[in-house]
Amino acid sequence: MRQPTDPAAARARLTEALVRTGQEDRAALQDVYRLTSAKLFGICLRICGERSAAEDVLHDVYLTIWKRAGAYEPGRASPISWLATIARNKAIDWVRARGARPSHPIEEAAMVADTSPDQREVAERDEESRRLHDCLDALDERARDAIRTAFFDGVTYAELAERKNVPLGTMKSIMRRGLLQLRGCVDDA
Amino acid sequence: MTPDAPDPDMTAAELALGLLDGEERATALRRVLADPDFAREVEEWRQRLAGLFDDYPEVAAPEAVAERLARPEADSQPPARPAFRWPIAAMVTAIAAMLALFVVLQPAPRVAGPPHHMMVASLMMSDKSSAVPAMVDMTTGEMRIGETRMAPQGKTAQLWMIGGDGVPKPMGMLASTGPSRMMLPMEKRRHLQAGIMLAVSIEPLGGSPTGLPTGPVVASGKLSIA
Repeated sequence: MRQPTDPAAARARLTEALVRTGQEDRAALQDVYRLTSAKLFGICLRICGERSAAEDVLHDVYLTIWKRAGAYEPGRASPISWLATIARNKAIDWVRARGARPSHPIEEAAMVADTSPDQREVAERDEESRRLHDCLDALDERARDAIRTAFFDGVTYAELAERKNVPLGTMKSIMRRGLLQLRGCVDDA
Repeated sequence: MTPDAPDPDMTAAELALGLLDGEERATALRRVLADPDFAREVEEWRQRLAGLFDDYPEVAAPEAVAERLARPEADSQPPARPAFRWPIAAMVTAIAAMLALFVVLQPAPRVAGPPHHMMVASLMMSDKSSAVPAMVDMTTGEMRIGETRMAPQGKTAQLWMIGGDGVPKPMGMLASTGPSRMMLPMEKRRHLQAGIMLAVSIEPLGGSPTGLPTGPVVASGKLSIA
């Protein structure tokens, strides 16, 4: 059972482990793994759509973290964003290298949970995340859905248009206008 | 909303999201390298959207992955599966560039002679006024740079390595007082050879936000074997 965490303390702990990993502290990499593997595996599973692929990608993600942790600069990006971005990119690279998206047999689909958050996750969001979610809620549904799908599934415009059964040009318009509105809302101090 | 009005240009966001493919993507990636303002926009979008990571569900990772990582030769492929062959194009993503983790694919550096233990450089100031010694212990990865005050208040002096491909790679920040000491992980150490140029640029506190130098280069020097 997860203990409720103080987000600031959790972030500090992860930052410290990541910085030490950058100093080639092997034990620190294990700490980073322990603190983040569930989140990063969730990302890999969602995008890869296959458990065995997600496992291989996850392994590769932590090898990459080991190599690049020295470049992580605390304060520039939150540690979990930095790590999650590596995971998301690796998973997307895997999918694109494969050529075709895997079909989603029933068991795989059941494994990949919905991205609507539970109460605790909502409560643990930091201020920026809350703002982003509020601004997304202010968009019209098609734009919000397009942006969320693009983010969570790492799809291209062509794949997104096909999924939503909408012409490519229309999908691009929806997305671009939605992003413009989103930026205006998020950046509005 | 007028249906005839052109779409706003959201290329930076599209790249950050991964919506682009093929030629559009290649063009955007080239723009990241060539245009620091565009690179910064992509980074800003990445930060704007980062809150969405909160919504990915957590799924306990299989023990097998932890076990593979705990092995000393962590780079070994899993026994029963074929090794991945990832096409080169898929490996270069702009988001990696935004993280200043910039893996530019290049052939493995050829080491002409036996591995050397110590490399040195003399970082000559752009105004030729003085030079700062730099030294790398290739066995431990420790890099030391002599005491110097290159960055004014509110800025940071950032060290770069410029290899055969001409692309600067960030090595770390210089200390604002006293000598600098940094540990270079294997990934950075691997590229250091005689003839490689080191350079120092003036960046905002915390270093360049783009992964490439944004400020003036104030000192540089070539690495040589000690």
